[in-house]
Amino acid sequence: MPRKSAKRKPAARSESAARYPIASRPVMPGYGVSKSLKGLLDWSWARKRLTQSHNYVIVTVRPDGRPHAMGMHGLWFDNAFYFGTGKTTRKAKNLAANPYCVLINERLEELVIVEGTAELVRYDALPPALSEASKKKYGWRIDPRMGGVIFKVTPQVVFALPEKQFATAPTRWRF
Amino acid sequence: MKGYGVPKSLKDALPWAWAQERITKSHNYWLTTVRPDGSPHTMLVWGIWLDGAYYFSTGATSRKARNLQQNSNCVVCNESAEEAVIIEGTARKLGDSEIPSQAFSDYKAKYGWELDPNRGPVHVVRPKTVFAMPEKLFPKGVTRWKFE
Repeated sequence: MPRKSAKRKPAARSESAARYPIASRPVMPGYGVSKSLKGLLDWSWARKRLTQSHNYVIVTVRPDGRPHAMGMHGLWFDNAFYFGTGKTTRKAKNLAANPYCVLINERLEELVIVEGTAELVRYDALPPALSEASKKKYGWRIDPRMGGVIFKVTPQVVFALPEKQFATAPTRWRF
Repeated sequence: MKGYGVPKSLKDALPWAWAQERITKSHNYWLTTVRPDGSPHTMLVWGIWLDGAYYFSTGATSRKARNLQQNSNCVVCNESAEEAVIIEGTARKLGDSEIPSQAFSDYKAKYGWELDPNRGPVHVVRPKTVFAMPEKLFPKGVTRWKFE
């Protein structure tokens, strides 16, 4: 089970911490969000939505400081997000200069916001089961012959904002 | 958008009304700002689209308000990822007298809440570039609008 803690100290980089991030309450002054930890969501709530989303949005930042957002397909797999893009797309160029990014799922009424960093991953370094997961979800395997590059987004902080339980359930997880 | 088969011709490009309808009717939106360290910050917001601009309010000390003070560049998007309308623009904090009166009535009509600058400064986002990404019309319907 995820540990629930109000403290902001970073999670230890142990195997269990990587699987179960620490839950806490996000700082949202003025919105009537409870300060107590009662009602915090379980990490599986966010993981399910991140896994099942068909579309995602990736937000990166241009060298001049302007944010850039684009819709994507991708795979949430073992607490990281994998997506492919062309080598010279705006997001690939942005991430080469600044790896900070945000990933969100497609349901704003059950929004999951992932803040993290992205890195290029070689095809032969991808998790072996990823290609099969892609086939199952989108109908195609991950194939280097398709061209382009694969980025892996590693989460640092994840927010869940379920609209219908806004008073009690907004949750932040730190990795 | 290299490699996605998006045509260069403007045939099948969407009319601006397509985008305007979606950004007007959306109930939830997300807003992205950039922290001083260059990392993006994305948060859920409510707001209204009025006369070609987006109005929202936020706490005076919220992360997005602080980010926008230093870097006014932002992105707003509607709630439909399969019919995403991505608005790149700049945000500005409005003085009370600068807020259009229709913004108050539209906000009240849409959400049943008052748009109250005393509870959080009202900002306006003016678009520079807007992208429409309709999944079912992809790639032919992908459209970009530029604003002077």
